[in-house]
Amino acid sequence: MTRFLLRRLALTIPILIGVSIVMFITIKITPGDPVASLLGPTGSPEARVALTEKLGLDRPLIVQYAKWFGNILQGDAGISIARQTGALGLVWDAMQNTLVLAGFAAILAMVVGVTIGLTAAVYPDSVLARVVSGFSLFAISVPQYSLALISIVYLAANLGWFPTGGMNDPSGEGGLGDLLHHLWLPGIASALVPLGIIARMVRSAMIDALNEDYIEALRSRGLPRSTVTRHAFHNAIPGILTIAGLQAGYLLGGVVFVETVFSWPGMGLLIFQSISQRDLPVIQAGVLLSALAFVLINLVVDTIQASIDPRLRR
Amino acid sequence: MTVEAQAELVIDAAGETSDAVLSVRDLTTTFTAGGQRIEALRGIDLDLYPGRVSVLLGESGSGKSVTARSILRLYGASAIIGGSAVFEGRDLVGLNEKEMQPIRGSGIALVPQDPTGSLDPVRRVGAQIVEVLRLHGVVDSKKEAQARAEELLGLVGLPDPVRAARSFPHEMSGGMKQRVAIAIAICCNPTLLIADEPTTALDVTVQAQILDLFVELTSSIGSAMLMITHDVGVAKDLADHVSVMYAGRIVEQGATSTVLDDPVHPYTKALLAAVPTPDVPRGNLIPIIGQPPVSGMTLPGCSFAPRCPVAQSSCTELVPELVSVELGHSVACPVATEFGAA
Ligand SMILES: Nc1ncnc2c1ncn2[C@@H]1O[C@H](COP(=O)(O)OP(=O)(O)OP(=O)(O)O)[C@@H](O)[C@H]1O
Ligand SMILES: [Mg+2]
Repeated sequence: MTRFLLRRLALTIPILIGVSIVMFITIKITPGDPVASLLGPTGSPEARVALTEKLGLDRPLIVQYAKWFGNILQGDAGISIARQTGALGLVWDAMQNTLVLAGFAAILAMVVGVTIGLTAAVYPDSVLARVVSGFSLFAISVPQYSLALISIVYLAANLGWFPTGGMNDPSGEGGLGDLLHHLWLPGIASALVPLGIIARMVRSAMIDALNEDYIEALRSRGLPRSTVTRHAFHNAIPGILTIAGLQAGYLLGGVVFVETVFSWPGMGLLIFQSISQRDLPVIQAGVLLSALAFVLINLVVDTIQASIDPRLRR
Repeated sequence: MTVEAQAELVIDAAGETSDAVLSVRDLTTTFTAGGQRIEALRGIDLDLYPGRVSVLLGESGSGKSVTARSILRLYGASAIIGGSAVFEGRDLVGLNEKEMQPIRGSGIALVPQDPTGSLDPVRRVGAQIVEVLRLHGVVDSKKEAQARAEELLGLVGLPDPVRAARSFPHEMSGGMKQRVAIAIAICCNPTLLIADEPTTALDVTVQAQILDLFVELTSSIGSAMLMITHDVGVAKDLADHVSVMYAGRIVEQGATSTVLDDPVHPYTKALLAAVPTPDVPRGNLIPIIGQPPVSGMTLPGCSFAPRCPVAQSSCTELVPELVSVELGHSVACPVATEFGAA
């Protein structure tokens, strides 16, 4: 198990390097000019040249990358062009806020999705199972933005049950209750698609597990249905976790839209703003940190899987 | 076979079934899934006695596994089961799932065909035995269950029982896994042990060892044993009693010596003629012409008639009943019995 962990940890390094290279190239080939956005339309040609040199943007791409990478290794991600503060600090704060939202949504999606999927698999002919598969289909197919906007208009603006945006009440004391109050709408909006996917995945994984030969063998030993179901679930967990892990990663990136709509001060909102401002240091640090989070989530998922299914411990 | 066993068989023939642990009468199983009716069992009669090995012999698709699963009531609503299967005074056919659960594994245990498919892949082998022991209340504590599990693993011939108990199924060979499946099956001292082709997934050398283990265990715990096989050789070696099955019916049954040495039913004769033995070399084998009926197809009369060398026009009209031809030997073929083929 220790060897398994060490090997998986070592694997994350080339993955992060690969991600950073792809990101670097992508940013360079997309149109838009950080210098222009910094100086605005009034910038003189001389100022442009000077700033380009100052930012190192006149150097070959490989040199720019090497310099950036060397700085990152020393914990320096550069200064935000738009905000004039350290990019790493900005990105780190935003990441924490995103983790709060994504974590909340992930727990919501897991708990509700697994419950729904299990019910549908174990009682395939029940009315509940049909309602539940209908709901998971709805969760997947309803466009996230329409739901987010509708909930803001009706539940927040009209009824006033929830705040229309933000993470904490600026006037209040804050605290956990306040945070939860702000979390519900963006949390549900982010959780809906992964919830539907997890529910369907759990359902099919459980149906497969319940059709395995050992299930009949377990029944032939006199085990009651609930125990047999538990055995099947135990076997289905690794498959379910694979999907859940992917969904958790998707949540990290996928909350961009929700964060923007609900003005949640997270990574999505930060990267969204930074892209429109061509704020390269922030984009680069943000993408790298997101990739790191994604890789770590997968590592955790794989580790749990290996501890559940002995056949994966290789 | 012992003299006592012979004497008991004589009593069977007289219709005395009081000391049988399981008496199956006219058991029928019909599958109705997919809008199609498949009559997998069309009237099975079986009597199983303590300490005795009965073999259910038949080709692939004849309904051997369906017989085992129907007795244990492992089918859901998709199968309609008729007739009776009286086990320790209770008709299993009338019991519901809750009433069946304490009987499964404790009263009647099953060793399935494929050892790999009989074990939960993500649970340690010892834990799977402990689970059954505790379920049926055979042991008082977890510790006792653990010790008993290791003892059982030794009993079925695993060289290092303590290590075996800690292993996962994928760390074991097929033969070892089948020994584990046997350990689970005997762990609650079942009154009846049903083994559904327990060696077909294993290689030949291991097969013989596993079969020997079965015979040894049945006699030591005194349970009745129903051994399902398509292998005439296995039947000859192990069985006290043989029931020959064809297309969902028993066509001939009786003491092994009478049925396999002196077959009466044309199907049993054809089956034996198609199998190599020390006296009949491979070259002289006579294959059975034609195919068994396709599942779902119901023929009027005798199912073997289309392939039968002695069939008469009357054979396709009436379903033949099992008729006693001598003490402890019944045959379902009016043609063979009337013309004294015995
Ligand atoms: N669940 C089921 N639904 C529908 N038909 C079934 C079902 N189980 C078995 N059958 C049919 O019943 C017949 C008997 O099957 P069974 O599995 O008992 O054969 P078998 O004698 O055990 O053969 P084998 O030696 O290949 O295991 C087959 O024709 C099969 O198609
Ligand atoms: Mg079978």
